[in-house]
Amino acid sequence: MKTNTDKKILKFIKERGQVAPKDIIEFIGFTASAVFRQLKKLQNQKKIQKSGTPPHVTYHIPMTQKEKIIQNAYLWTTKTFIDNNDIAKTANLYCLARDIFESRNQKTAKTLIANNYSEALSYLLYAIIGEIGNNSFDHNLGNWPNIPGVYFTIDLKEKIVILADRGRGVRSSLQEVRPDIIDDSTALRVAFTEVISGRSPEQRGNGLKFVKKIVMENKLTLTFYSGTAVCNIKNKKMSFENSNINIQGTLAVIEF
Amino acid sequence: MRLELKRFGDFLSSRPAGREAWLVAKSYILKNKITPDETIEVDFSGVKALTPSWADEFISSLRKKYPGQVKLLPSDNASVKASLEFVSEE
Repeated sequence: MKTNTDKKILKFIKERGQVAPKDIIEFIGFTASAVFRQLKKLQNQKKIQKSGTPPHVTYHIPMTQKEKIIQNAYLWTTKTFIDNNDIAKTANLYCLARDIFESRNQKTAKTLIANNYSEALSYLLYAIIGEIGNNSFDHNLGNWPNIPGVYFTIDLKEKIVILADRGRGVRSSLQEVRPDIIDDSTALRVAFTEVISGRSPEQRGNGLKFVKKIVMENKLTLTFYSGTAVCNIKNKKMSFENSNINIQGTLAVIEF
Repeated sequence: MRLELKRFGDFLSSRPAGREAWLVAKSYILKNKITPDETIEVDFSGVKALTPSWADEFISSLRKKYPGQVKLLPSDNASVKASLEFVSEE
């Protein structure tokens, strides 16, 4: 094996963000044992980290705790196959039904208050978490592509809330009433700026506008992914960009 | 008549919950009790959190059923104030 193989592997992982070992083996073209030796070496040098358990192991560059929390939600959202074992492992994060989600959201508000956050901010966070999470149920009920429900977690130390679903995504929902929306970025822009609902003939669709207002007025940060687009709201500014990740449903990161 | 929303809970979120609350209010609380010239005062005291989805289902339906008779009482709750901005006027 050439001596720069570890550098090639590191570059490959950096470019991909998160890579399964089989992809690395395929890319490098050496035996699995040779590649795993290099991966172990890079791990020992703390240049990469290993996440997950077989058969869902991935390698990535070292991440902060906050990045790990987001990454776990991303993996839950994008993993092609989720079995009962996966669901059991994330039982404390996964809300199969709306009433479970509601119960956890109320508990979250109470936890925030118990940790000295103001009642006003705690209840506003409850409201925007409720709007985002209930959107997932409203727009996918009876039509979930595979796993129903919402992934919902809060980390008080990192001051972060994550909401994710494996639903149809914003573009697919809005295309029911706006077939002219042909890309994810436009769909997100419409969802955050126009009063529109995919649930025709409802003349509604204020949820994400409300979320935007609360985030902007309370010095919060929102990163909202759907499809290949992302909406960023930070420092009272909102932007829409193409994302380097692809989320079939939605993934929302609220920082408070 | 004063309609206290806290009787439906102190956390008021989601469209299904708002719709359920409206159906209960319409059938059991308001039916045959509101005269044409009576004002329905919607009281938010005791509500900890309100979302625009719940408010839209409940308040928009209330306004539609009793046009010109609904008065929203002021609230200091930030989520109530913000949510009501997103509920369409009569």
